[in-house]
Formats: sequence, C-alpha cells, structure tokens
Amino acid sequence: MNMSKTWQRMFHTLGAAFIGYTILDSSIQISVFSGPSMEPTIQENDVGLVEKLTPYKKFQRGDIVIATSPDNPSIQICKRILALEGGRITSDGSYALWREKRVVPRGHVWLEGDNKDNSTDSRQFGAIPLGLVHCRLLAKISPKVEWLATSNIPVNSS
Amino acid sequence: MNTSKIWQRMFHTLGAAFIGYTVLDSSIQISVFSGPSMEPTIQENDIGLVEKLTPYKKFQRGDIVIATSPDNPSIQICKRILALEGDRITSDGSYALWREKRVVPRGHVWLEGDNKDNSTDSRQFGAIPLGLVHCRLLAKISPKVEWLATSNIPVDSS
Repeated sequence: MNMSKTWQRMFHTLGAAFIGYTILDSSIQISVFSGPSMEPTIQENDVGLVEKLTPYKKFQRGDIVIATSPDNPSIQICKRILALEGGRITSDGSYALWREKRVVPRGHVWLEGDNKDNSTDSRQFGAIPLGLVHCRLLAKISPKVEWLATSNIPVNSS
Repeated sequence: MNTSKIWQRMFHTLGAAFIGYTVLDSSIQISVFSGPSMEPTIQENDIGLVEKLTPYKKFQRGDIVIATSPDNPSIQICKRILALEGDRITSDGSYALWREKRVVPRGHVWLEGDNKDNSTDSRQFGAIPLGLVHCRLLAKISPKVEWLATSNIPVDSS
C-alpha cells in the first residue's frame, strides 16, 4: 500500500512536470549562447531568456532572434533583425558580395550579428524566410540580468 | 467523496490525454489538404498522415513534404522534393523566371507541385532552406488509404 502510493505520487509528479514543461516550453526558453558573432551584446556562455509568443508581424528592427541556419538546418543562429520585408539594405562593399541596394523580400528578414567582422549572416546568405525564426531574446540572465531593449539599432540599418 | 473521485479521474484522463497528444504530435500528425498544386496525387480535402521523425539528411527526391511558405510564414505548403543540395535543376523556360541551370545550395531543397500549371513553388521562389520543412507525407487516409512511395518521381527531376 505504501509502495503503490509512492509510485502514484511519482507518476503524478512526472506527469505534472511534463505538462508544465510542455506548456512553458511553447512560450519561453532558456538558451546558452556560443560564438563571437553577437559580441559585445552577447558573449560566449551567456545565458538568455527567449520567448516564442510574439507573432511574426510584431517583430521589430533591433530585435535579437534565434533562427535555424539557412545553410545548415541542424544549427541555430542568434542575430539581430536589421530590416523587415520591404526594407532597404545597403552595403559599403568591404565585406559583402554585393554593392547595390537590396530590398528585403516579402516574408523575409535581414539578420546581422553585432560583431560585424566575425559574423556570417544575411550579408553572406541573404535575407531569410521568417519561418526559420523561432524566438526572440527578452533578456540575458547570465553573467548578469539585462533586459534587452530594441532601442540599440545599429547605425547601418535602413 | 464521490465527487472528488470524479474530479480526480477527470484530471487523470485530461493529463494522460495531454501527455499522449504531445508525445504523438511530435512524431505524427493528421493533415487536411487544400488547393490544386499537388493534383492528381493530392486533391482538395484529402486527408493524410504525416510524420516528423525523419531527419533532414534522410529526405529523398520524390518525398512529399509540408513546409512553411518562404513568402508567408503563416501558411504551410505541400510539395514534392525534386532536388536536394548539390543537385542541378534545369528549366524549359516556359513558366519559370529563369532559363539556365541552377544548383541547389547547401542546406536547401527544391520543391515543386505535381500540378505544374497550377503550383507556386521553387520555380518561382527558388530552393528553400530545409529548416522550413516540417514533416513528410507517409500515406493518404482519405478518400481511400494509399501508401505514398517515393518511387513516383516526375520525369523532369535531375
């Protein structure tokens, strides 16, 4: 009788944890970052809080998002939205494969890392479909808590 | 006492249903199709069984997949994989915006509807990143049960 109550409690706990995790996981997520492409905003091993609730049409320039890489579906990339559909992008030509103005196509976004010299992003692979973007970074929680506003829009966005 | 047992049983049933649905939903799904772009293979209101378990590297030419549209992240499209990364695509020039040979980039697939005259697909929007592809059609269950083999590869794939 005691054993069966223990099993029962264990199943209840596991079941509740699974349900809670599933509901939570469809809305927010903790992510650990690696790589230099978003320095100094995000450093290696920083931990952030991301959310999956914002609909695509509410994304703004300056938002930091996590997306599936267009070159490799097994990896996730974290970059800043510099332009939305219809937005114009210009390149100074020093590192990009193109020099003229480009317009971001419908349903796409233009992403760039904050660390311009050390980031593979839309300057190399072009604007990516919004369907690849999964979530938006709300705040960093490590090394210290920082709420990330969208007001830090880099100078070269259009 | 009787009422509390009924609540208990209801919670158990709901909890188990939620868990079961979540586990199932991450592997297979029932989909209802609309639109003419995959006729005659798939007709309006056909119902199919799709699976989400096959890893990207196991996709084959001829597989019918469901993907998020690259032009509009709110809609899902159902098309056939005609070419994988590295494959060459040629166009007869009659309906496509390009005439030369193209190579499918790394991490991308080339999709086309079976109903060539009535499908918006990679001939218009180009190869799409695999990250947009969600699941693979296993079988139709309505109007009648049909297992979909990948042997029905249209003639003009490379």
